[in-house]
Amino acid sequence: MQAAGGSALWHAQKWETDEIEGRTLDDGRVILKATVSTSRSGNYLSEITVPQVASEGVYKGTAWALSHFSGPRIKYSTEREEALRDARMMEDADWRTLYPHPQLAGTEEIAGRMCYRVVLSDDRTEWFDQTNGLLMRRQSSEISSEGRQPTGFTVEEWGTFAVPGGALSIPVKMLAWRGDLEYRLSVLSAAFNKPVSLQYPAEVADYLAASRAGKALPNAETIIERHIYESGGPEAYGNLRTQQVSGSLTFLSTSQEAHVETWAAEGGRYYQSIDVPGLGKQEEGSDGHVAWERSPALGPRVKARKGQAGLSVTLDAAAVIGWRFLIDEVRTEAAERIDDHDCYRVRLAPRDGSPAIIRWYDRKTGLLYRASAALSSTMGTVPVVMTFEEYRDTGGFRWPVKTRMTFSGQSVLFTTAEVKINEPVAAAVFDLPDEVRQLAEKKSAGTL
Amino acid sequence: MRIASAPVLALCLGMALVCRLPAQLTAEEKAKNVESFETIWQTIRDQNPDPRLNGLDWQAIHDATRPLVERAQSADEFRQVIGGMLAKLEASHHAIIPADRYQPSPQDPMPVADEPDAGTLVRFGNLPEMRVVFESRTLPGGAGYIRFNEFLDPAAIMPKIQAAVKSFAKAPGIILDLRGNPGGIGIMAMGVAGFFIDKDGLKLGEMKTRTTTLNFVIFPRPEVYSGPLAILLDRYSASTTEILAGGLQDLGRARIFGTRSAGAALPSDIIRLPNGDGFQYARASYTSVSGKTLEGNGVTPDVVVEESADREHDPVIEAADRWIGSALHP
Repeated sequence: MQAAGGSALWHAQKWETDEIEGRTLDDGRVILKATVSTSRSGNYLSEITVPQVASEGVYKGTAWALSHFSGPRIKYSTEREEALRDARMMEDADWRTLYPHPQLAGTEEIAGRMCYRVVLSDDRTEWFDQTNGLLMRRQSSEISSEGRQPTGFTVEEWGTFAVPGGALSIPVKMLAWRGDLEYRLSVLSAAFNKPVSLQYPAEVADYLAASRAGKALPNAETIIERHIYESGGPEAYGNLRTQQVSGSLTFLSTSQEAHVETWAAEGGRYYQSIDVPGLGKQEEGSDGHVAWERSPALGPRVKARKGQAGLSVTLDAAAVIGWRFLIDEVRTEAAERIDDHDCYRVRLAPRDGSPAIIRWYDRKTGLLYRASAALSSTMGTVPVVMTFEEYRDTGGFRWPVKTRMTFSGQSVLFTTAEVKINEPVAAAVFDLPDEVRQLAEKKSAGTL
Repeated sequence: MRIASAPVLALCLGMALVCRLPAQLTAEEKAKNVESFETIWQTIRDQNPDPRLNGLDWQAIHDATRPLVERAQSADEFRQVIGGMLAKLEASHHAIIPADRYQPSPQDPMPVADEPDAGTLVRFGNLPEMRVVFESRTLPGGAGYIRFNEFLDPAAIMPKIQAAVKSFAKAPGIILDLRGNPGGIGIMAMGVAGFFIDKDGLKLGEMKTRTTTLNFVIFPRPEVYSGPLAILLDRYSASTTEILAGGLQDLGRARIFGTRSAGAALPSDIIRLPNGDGFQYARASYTSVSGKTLEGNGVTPDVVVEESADREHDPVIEAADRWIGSALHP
């Protein structure tokens, strides 16, 4: 603290506004651009322009977020605590109050410099340069949809800013990380004691008022994250390696029953077989490179899209926990009763421009009850409604035993017979059939 | 599952009429008939591809028909009343399949005319049991000849077509005889076309329900026959047959011989009614790739050849065979 300007000078600062930018390490692409303003009264406002226009902050103890992505949101529990901690950036000078039991835990070399390692709390460790006394590294963690993940930075350069009565030093170039993502964080400008309003926007104020009156719908991100948590949790999804699901598919208008076998494994590999009486075996799969379908009626074909086109009974872990990468905008539209279930209706606009997906989440269980989407293939786009019923604990997940599917006037019911999670699956299951391989070769040679 | 089958069902109804005397209905059977009538009426209202329902006042038709259904004294009378109501739509693929057609019969329930080969009995969805016959041979001039009587049982039929097409790889042409073929599973048209089209991204036509449009896309097979292809049609060739023939004609891939097809090409479904009957109803319209509506119009042959009563000669096959010969030696 002394080396960065001294406690007295830091205590004299009431506001700090930093313009920050994050770039990828490989190609220098800008992945974060924001203006962060903090006050000593514990309020803060972050106005983000990259990766998308959004803002978040803390005002009078209310932690909030507002984005084009999901609209206004109030943060609660752990997420709120983290926001409050972030809002105390200017209170580093009061570190004795914030971290009453610091422990010197030894020395370590960081980027060629010997440092003291100081454990401030269970969740925060800092390293200080033995020579100049400045902060060298900070290690903490934060909760995200992938679970708790490490976050922190190593200081690469300090900058000095003149303020009345002296000069303050702050890190201006850092190697930062958040989970597996490493990036270079720069402070492009810093201003002290320049008063700014840190009040939340009117949209958040309206939402907060509705929330306090019990009339606000929960933010869609919260609803989706709750489903992820209730259906197994981000860790279980993250550890999902193989799945084997078998069951029966009943065509409700004809009472025909088809046997279904599905295998899925890491690397986008899957194979599904549905043996329909009178139609034969309908297969689809992917070896991770070539996606295909085959049926007696239509023969083999190579698909442009890698995802499954029809009944998908396995979990796509990457799509579940990485749902934000696939979605451009999400909103909670209504609280409504579907069948006997009180649900929240959530609209998701996919990033690929395909029609909006509507989902209904059970308010009581937090689990997805129904989804309405459009399945696209070379044959066209078909609206599909899927209803997930009778969730049961299976291999660390809450798994719907029954999935009802309605499309193009037809209704089918998939009943799960057996689910095996993370058991060995023979790699040969995902091999391309010979005629699919022939087609794929023709396609890549441009002779099809 | 979607059936694009021309109704074999009038025939079924005819058989039912001659098999037994109309039995008096019980009160419970009458109630089931009323329930079945309501199902039919609502299904047409909600699913018919023409939301205008041929310009009919469908509610008025309901109100006029229901008393007739309530008064019907036999299953046959009920079916006649429903048949009258469905006829007002002036569209194919609307029919009642009598419940007794679903009873498994130890004997051949419906012999296929002129089929010395018994073929295979198959059942699909809510269709009654059907007999599927497949034939392939090499004609004296070397052309390959393939014939099958229904677009059903793809797991058995498609490998036979594949094997035949493969065996005809060096033949001067292939004749696909679809005379008398009333259709069946619609997507089989795309699958059969894939044996004769080697370019990706082409389609036979498109099917439109009230909410969706589905392209009948052709998926080329790994091994495709690219020589001359003749398709034979007659007035009994319907539905899936017309979708295949009309599409390949539009694409310039097949030359059509025979007489104009039935013009009954509305994709349909079959459901079972509360009284045990089956009900076939059109749920989509269909246009060929050139934009032609096949329903009511049929496929017009490139070469019109009338059938002959002479069993020793088949002028339609002969005309197609001559064309293949001329294509080889123009």
